[in-house]
Amino acid sequence: MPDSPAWKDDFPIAWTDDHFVTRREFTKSLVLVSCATFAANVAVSTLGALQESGQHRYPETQVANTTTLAVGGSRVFYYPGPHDPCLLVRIDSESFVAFSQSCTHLGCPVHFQSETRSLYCPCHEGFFSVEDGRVLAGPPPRPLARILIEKRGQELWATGKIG
Amino acid sequence: MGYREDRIAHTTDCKHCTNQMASIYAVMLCVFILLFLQFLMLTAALEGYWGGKQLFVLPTAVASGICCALACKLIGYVLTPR
Amino acid sequence: MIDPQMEFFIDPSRCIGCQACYHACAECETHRGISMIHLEYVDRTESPQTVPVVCMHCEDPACAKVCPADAIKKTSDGVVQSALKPRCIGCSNCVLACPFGVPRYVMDFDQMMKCDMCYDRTSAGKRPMCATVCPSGALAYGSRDQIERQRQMQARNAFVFGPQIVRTKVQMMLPAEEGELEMDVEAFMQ
Repeated sequence: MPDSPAWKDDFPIAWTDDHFVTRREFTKSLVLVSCATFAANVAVSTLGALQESGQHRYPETQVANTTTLAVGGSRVFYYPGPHDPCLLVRIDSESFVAFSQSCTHLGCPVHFQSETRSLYCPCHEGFFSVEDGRVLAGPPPRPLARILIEKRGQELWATGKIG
Repeated sequence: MGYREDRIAHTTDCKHCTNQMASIYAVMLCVFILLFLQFLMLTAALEGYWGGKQLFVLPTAVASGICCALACKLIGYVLTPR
Repeated sequence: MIDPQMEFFIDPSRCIGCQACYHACAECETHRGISMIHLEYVDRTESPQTVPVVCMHCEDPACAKVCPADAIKKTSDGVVQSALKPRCIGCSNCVLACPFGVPRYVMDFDQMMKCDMCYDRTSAGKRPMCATVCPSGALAYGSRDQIERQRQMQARNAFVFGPQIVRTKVQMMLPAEEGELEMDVEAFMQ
């Protein structure tokens, strides 16, 4: 015969021993989470309003040289930081485009497919346009972030990021 | 003597208790649904922010605010003594 | 939190039956105008002597132990609170179980109600309402040193009910030679 039956531990008389959460308290905590979610939403909308057209300026970096990249070729570079892989594509003799290499679906690296003239993500068959990075097919929800490229003589410089 | 004679046999049916239980369960369910909608709004806002489509961000904040206000109103109804 | 130095003392010999405590308690809005204290006549045919009856706030409250709805709780200060409104089902187990006959079943609210030592006042450093208005000092709220200095009687908090000893937070003033107060329940019932 136990000294104290289990129900006595579950329903103690002293408030200090009572650890059960009542329905009322649980619902109150849900409402607090609701307020926190609203606050997060307001924070995101404020940040969105403060930024203009999603364009970010970062320190300029030289990423490649026109003589080392053939037409229809691509090269990986890192911008703005060492953990931000980007893909530079030479569309024709004068046009260079660059996008973030992270697929907007689940972050897999995209590759340039010259035969389809698109950026291809092998993980879930996502396709992005090489002209503007918009989604052509597959599960990716958003276009690829575009890297602003400036041609200075034979040097190619990354000057900012959109998206 | 004393107040033990106050104990008059009364019906075991307690409509008031049943109504209170039903109201707290209904409020819990409504707050769950509102919270779920708010998480959807937050997800949409983040998608819009990261995707550069600022058009969706403000309406989701407004919708989230309406859901939050409704949730506060519901919990206020439950907590008000009657 | 209640100051641990402060205790509640009942001296039945000082009660003059003025009902000031009854009316003061009834004025409190937290229990909707129903008094949680009442006066009992010791033997109305023999004497006008009255005794105030308040919750004794037992260390091991019988009312809380028999409550099937877990509606009666004890605070960390040792105050046994009245039944929680959302939980009380009006079964009157506590009314029957209390050895001092304190809890009342109020049919209008379908609720048990009892004295909670004016927890809203005592936790803020004030005295309970009944002790504040008592003109004779039959109900007193203060430190033990203060009471023992002012009075000849001694404070006791052990009550014997047959083989059971009930220890309470509320102290009763008894003659110095009395130790535990033996409650003759059978004599009480006659």
